[in-house]
Amino acid sequence: MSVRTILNMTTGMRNLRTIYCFVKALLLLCCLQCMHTANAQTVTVSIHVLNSIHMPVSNATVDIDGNRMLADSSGKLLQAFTKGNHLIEASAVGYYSRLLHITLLSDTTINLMLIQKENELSNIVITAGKNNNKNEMSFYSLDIDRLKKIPVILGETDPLKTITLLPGIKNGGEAGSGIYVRGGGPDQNLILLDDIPVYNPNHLLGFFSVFNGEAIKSVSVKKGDMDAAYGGRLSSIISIDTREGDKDSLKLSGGIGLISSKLSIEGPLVKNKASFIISGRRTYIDQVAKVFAKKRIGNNGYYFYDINGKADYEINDNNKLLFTFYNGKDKFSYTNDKNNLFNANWGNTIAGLTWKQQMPSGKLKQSVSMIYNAFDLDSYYGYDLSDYIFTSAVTDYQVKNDWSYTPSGKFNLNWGLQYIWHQFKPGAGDITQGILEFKTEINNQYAREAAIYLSSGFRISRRLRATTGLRYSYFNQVGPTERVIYNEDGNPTGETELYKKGESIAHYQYPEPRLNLDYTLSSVSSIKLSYNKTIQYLHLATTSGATFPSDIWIPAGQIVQPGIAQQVSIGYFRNTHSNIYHFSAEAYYKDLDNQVEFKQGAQLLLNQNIEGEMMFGKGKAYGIELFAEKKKGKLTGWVGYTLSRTQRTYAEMNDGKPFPYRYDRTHDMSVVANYTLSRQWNFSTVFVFGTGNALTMPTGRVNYNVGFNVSQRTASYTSMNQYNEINNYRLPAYHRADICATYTPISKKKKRFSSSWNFNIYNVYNRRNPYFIYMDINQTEKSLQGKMVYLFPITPAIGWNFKF
Amino acid sequence: MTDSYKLPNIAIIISLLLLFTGCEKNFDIGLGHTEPQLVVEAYINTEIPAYNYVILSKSQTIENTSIASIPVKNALVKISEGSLMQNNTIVWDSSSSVILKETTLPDVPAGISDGIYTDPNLQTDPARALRGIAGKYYLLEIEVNGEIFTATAPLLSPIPIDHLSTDYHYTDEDGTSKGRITVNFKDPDTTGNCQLFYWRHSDNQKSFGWGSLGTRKRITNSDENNNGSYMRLTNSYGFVKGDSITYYMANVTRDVYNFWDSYNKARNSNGPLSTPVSLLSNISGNNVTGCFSGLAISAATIIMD
Repeated sequence: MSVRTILNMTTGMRNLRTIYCFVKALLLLCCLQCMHTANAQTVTVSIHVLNSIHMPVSNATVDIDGNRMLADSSGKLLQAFTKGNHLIEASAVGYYSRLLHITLLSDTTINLMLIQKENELSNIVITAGKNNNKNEMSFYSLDIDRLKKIPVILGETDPLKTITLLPGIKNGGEAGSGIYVRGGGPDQNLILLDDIPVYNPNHLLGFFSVFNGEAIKSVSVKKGDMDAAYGGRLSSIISIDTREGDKDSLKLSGGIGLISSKLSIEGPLVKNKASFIISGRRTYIDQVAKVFAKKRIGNNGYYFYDINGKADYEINDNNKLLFTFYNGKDKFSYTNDKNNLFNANWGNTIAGLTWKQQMPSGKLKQSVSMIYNAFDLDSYYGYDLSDYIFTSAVTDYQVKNDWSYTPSGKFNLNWGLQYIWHQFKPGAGDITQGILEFKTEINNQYAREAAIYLSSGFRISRRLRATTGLRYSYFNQVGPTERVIYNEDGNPTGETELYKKGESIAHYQYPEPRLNLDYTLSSVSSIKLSYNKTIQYLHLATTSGATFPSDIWIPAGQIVQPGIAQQVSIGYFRNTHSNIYHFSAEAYYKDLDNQVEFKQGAQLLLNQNIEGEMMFGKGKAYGIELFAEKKKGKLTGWVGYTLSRTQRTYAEMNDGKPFPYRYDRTHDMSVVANYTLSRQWNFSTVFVFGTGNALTMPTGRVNYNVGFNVSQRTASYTSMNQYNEINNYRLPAYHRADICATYTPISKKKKRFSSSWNFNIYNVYNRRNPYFIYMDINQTEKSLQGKMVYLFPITPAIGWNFKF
Repeated sequence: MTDSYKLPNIAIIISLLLLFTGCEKNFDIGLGHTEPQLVVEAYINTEIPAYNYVILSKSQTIENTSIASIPVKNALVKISEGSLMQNNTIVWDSSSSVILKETTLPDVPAGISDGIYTDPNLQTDPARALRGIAGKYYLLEIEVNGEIFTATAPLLSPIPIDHLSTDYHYTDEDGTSKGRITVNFKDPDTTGNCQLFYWRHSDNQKSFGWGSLGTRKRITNSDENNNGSYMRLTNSYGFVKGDSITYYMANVTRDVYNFWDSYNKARNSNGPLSTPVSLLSNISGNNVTGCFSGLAISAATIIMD
């Protein structure tokens, strides 16, 4: 038995002992809480907050005898009451509140119907960013109706762009793709559409996301204090929920914008029981470019489309079926003056079927989901007599089962399991040169990923509440595949080893503990503390310059280790003036291990030896996030500020010394303001400021590969940039302001048809924020010049939205 | 040959797309001052004695808009020969040491020969000029302003070229008939074999230096994916019909291959959306970059038909 095997067994045994002690303690706590609950003279009431068309009102506020609580995203709240008379008031933004006097003698379910205020424009931009009574640290939620009021580039509502206005969540720069949360990379966010992972959430190389505002209900972000039910990514969970169809009548809604249009049709399949909604969006950038820039663009074109579909069926009060579907594609074509053609198509397809069940008592719930999600890329390049075809794909099949037991408002228990089968197609190429054809196929990869979890929320004392959880994850890369064998120096030996179907190549397993403590200082203030450990088994191979859809997902294997993160956060939260104002300050420290970077100049496409192109290192991120919000009144909005540092260390880079991560942004500030002038007019503005991204800029020029033309008496050489420290340069600071006005015509008669106009100006004071910079070298003139490319000057946009 | 399978430069195509919305302007990057590096381009080979030379220069600082080379003169440059012993140590033969002097070779015109060091015996006693021997090791020692820099280069055994063939004939835009050369050889069964490729033909007949024997891009190959196979590698360079080509295949060690591979990547990392690449130098010392390349040459000649 080898030393490594013994060490693995010892580590495994230690992990098992840790798990056993943790589970034993958790079960003991559960028993104590259950006994306490059983002895009380209480009844359990399940409160459902619905609108007039029987759709749940997300994140409604429920006031019970003066104690304010928050319903969940499906409008539900489970609460224990003493028997007798109670006063319940439900309210939500955009709705008239509802008051109910009730006498409770036994467990019951209450449906509270709220009436929507017509044309009630935003007076709260964040509906439930923070709530002192909920253990939700590092969490934000945005309602789509409010998202639509925030000014965005070209008027395209984009939840991923908008959440970067929140502290601790950064984008990659002007029109950059990728979300960077507390020092993590863009692949370290679990982006979910109706609980289904999305691998590539971007269109047009990151200019826009794949999420159609017409189909979305809400977006929420959790950047710490991770739920044990979720894993597989290190930095955050970004959850986008689509809305369900109208169960009452057929409806049409849509919008026409400057570069895209969208349309939704929804309605009942079975009145008040089942509904459907189908939303589509297509950009017409290609058509606009042909009209306005035919000389420059010619017949080249680009467009994208998204199709979202959802169907739900309430079998009975306790059982519900949901089906979600999404398909989106980017299509790009380019032909130069020599008739060389380049085509590329890429996109996601996801589908999920979920059965949600609730036991008659309402205390026990479960959901079972079957999920399919895939991302694929096809490209073609024709040059002279040569043709190149490149394809790559990643496909997942997933099942999961989640349980929730809430015997009282003071205690809950959640558990579940998850299994994913991954298929990776890192690349296949078909190259034709004249009459000869070469096929290159990078071996497909397969892996299983599984997890079980258990978590519990309980009250330790009157002021102290805790949520503890343990997620245990397992990952196993399996055959069939052919693996390159590397020598000790990390160079391929030219030999390979074959793995049969299902044969294990490498496996990993980790416990992932989660802990949250919530200490109530007063009815309006609290302190929260959280710790979590997360594991990521998939890494994204991306070029440094741009996140092109040729990015490849690589599973953990013999050489590629899983990424590990441990994060500690502490925060102070306070509401004032009857919850009109909210303030918070959070500090965090995150430690990252097995962070992947690619060797300089790495060839990522069609490279059988891609593992040999990787380096592994560590990361560290820490910072303070300040947030102040006004939630009510004619003027609402927030100010968010983050002071942070993010760095990486690799033995092979920067002489092993730590260097700033590319998206290390020392200062990051966002100001969002919304003013409701009247029922017709609403105005909003955004101002953002951020330290420029870190770049590696050359420190000198080196001439090499010298040759001499004897007859002409000249020397020839190649001039190259010379680099010293990694990320030794900062782009200029990024800042801009946007404004938006929404006009909603009001008709004296109540009509089924309604519309609104949206006027946006992006980058009001025409700030030239760099998209990228480079050194332009002229070999003939022997000169060099710094060049800055910037994208969006002051950019107006107009859009029209309608509902029928 | 990995270079033939390289996908189109997608970054350039994306940049063209960005022209629709993007604008560009000149600006003063304002980079900080750094000390110039010593740049060493040194060769020892088994075939062409005149091409055993060392070029020393200083890197340009980034604020200097000129990209012309800064030659380093009056350096002490010495190459010694040695043998590998059974205990894996190298014993250097001090009697074999050759002091290279700033060149006066007629092929290297005066005025541009600064910083180029060759064996004076090339003109005074060509029979005794520095010549690389397969199986031997070579030590390069450089002293510039009191600072010492060293490098070691073994010379492997040349890999025989089985034959050259002409393929992929085409007509160029100006109507010239051209074709490409395929080199055919058997890769040794040992792993880690790497090659560099050079050629002389009518266009560079009257030229000097390895940098003139081929394109600016150094054509390379390694046997990572096809160790021990019979190799047929086609050079994408088009030769004119009727041209006589002498094709050189240099068998090199891994560190030399890595340097020239990094050179190929670095020469392409100037444009937008590119990844910074540093040269993987095999020269020891402070503030120095470059490569001492040991080239075990096999050659063949063909006429493009």
